[in-house]
Amino acid sequence: MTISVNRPPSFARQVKQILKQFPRSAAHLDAVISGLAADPGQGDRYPGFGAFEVRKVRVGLPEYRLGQGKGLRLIFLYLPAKERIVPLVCYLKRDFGSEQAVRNLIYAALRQI
Amino acid sequence: MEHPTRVNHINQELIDILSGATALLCSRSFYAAAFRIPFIVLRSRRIEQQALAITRDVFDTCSYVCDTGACAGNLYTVVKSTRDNLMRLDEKLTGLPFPFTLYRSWVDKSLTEWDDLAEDCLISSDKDIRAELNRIAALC
Repeated sequence: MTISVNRPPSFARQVKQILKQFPRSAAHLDAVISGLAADPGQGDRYPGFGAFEVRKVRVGLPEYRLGQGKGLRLIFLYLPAKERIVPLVCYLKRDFGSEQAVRNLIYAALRQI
Repeated sequence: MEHPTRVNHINQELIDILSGATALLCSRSFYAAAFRIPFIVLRSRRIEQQALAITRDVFDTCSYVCDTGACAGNLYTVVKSTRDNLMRLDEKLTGLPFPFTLYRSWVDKSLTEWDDLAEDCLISSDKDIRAELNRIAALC
């Protein structure tokens, strides 16, 4: 079984934006995204999607001494029937208690896909 | 599988301990707080880890049996309340001298976990986001 990782243009733009802030992590982040195919069951699964899976993984940025807790969050879609992974949103963990802002950011990002 | 009632119960127990610790830090007696806080922190740490494990378990179980994300929405209120209490405790600990600084790293680590869980509950139960995710999955 070969799982492909299809990065939408809006996701590529988000990553580019993040890498402006963390340029030394480009290779690491690319490896993490490509590595989703090797283990599509990683991260926390969001409930209630039946035929497909939506998951969130925490990504540390060791080049900047940022652990998984303070690092990036990557939300991706996994379609087992089509053997496909679609990274959806990537963002930097914000201050505590800002889930509404994160919700708005994710919604805006999803609408661009 | 953990029952949601157990989640409410253990979270309420944790909230009571955390708000007690915050109230103690607000009191003017430095020595009383310095003496009692280690015991409160030890107790709350144990319960906090249990509460997190149980709440995550309910969330994870929900991801296999739920069709609408409604149970994640119900969890959000409880999780947010616990997270807010941890935030208040963290704010009180910030700026306090030794020995209180010892507890900040624990509170900070716990806060990250609870904040992520609150985020997960809110996002996965949001109707607009769910509609967008379904649309994207149909497109792919």
